[in-house]
Amino acid sequence: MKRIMMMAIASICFFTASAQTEKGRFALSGNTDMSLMFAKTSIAVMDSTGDGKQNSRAFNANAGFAYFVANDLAVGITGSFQYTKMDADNAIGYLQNYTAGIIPSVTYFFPLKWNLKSNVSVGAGYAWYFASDLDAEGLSLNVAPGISWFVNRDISLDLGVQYTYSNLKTTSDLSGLTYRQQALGLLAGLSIYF
Amino acid sequence: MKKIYIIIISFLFIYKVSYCQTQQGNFVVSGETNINLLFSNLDPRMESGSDNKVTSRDYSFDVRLGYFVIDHLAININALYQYSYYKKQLYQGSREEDIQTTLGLIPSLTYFFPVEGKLKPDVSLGAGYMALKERNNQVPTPDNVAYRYGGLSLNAGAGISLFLNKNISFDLNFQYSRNKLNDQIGNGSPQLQNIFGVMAGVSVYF
Repeated sequence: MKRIMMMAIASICFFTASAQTEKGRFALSGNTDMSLMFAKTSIAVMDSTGDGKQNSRAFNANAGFAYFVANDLAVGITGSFQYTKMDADNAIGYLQNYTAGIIPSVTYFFPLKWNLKSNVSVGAGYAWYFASDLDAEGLSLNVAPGISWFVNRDISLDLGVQYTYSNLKTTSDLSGLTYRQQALGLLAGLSIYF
Repeated sequence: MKKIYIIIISFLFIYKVSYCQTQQGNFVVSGETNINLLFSNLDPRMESGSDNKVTSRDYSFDVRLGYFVIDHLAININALYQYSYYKKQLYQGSREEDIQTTLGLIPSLTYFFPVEGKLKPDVSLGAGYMALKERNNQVPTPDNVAYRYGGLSLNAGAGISLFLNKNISFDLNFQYSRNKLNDQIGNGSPQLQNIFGVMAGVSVYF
């Protein structure tokens, strides 16, 4: 009887461990956030020009969202938008820029022991960069292997490596300038599941 | 009779679930807690074939952790370190190198009002230290320091959290920050910052 109880408890534990990434659940990156900031900075300058003032406005939104279409397989979308506007009474002057990106991706989780799951994510999307002196946009590709430790059914701590390749073309002139960016990142954060 | 039991049990369960997130001994971590190391190489190419490469390194460490010392009252620490470096080829034999660092250490207190249901309003107060520094090899100052500011940061916030379950909440906060940062490289000119922000994010409790 005791053995059956132990097996039942163990199977519950297994169910809990495998339930995080089962079909029909959602995953949300802990980094998902939205902020709107208004800042006013006064710089007391000790010369004849008097006080310098700087007003800035920033809007920032990041979202990483996925849906498990099958057990351990999630289809997701990562989106980010950053806007900054600054008006300063100094050499910086007026500055306005924004960046945006939207990257659909597919992630597969490989169950391991002790509530650990390795995963690999592949994504392709589009990125925009607009600044006072540069407008560029283009394709962004990324691949990200990682490992997640599931604290419980709802939370995981994640560690991953991400490689991103972007090919951006200028849109503001006919210079034909292209920007090829390669980025390698080591990222640690958390995700929630519901 | 059975119905009453079910009601009592479900009430106890719901009360327990909605209450236990902010009880003494629990921890809360902001979803924005992260450590990132990023190495990037930007290669602009003209059709003529000339190019000006930009290499950059960005490290960031952002930890927002709280501990409930009594029911509904958490002591938090918000520690932030950001390092950003880039190297840009300007013209033959000349290049620009720039390093920006930001450091912040802001302890705070948050009180959650123990109201019934899944929504809980909260207020926060914090005070700490912030420092900003930039070095650029094109700036003709000793050690190429463009600026170095450091000083007190005061924060007050109010918000509301929607508890999805006993581990997760979605948060909406209004925050006001007042920073007085002193110039530490010479003329002593202070920089006063008044920042108002509206923020939405997630937190986890365990």
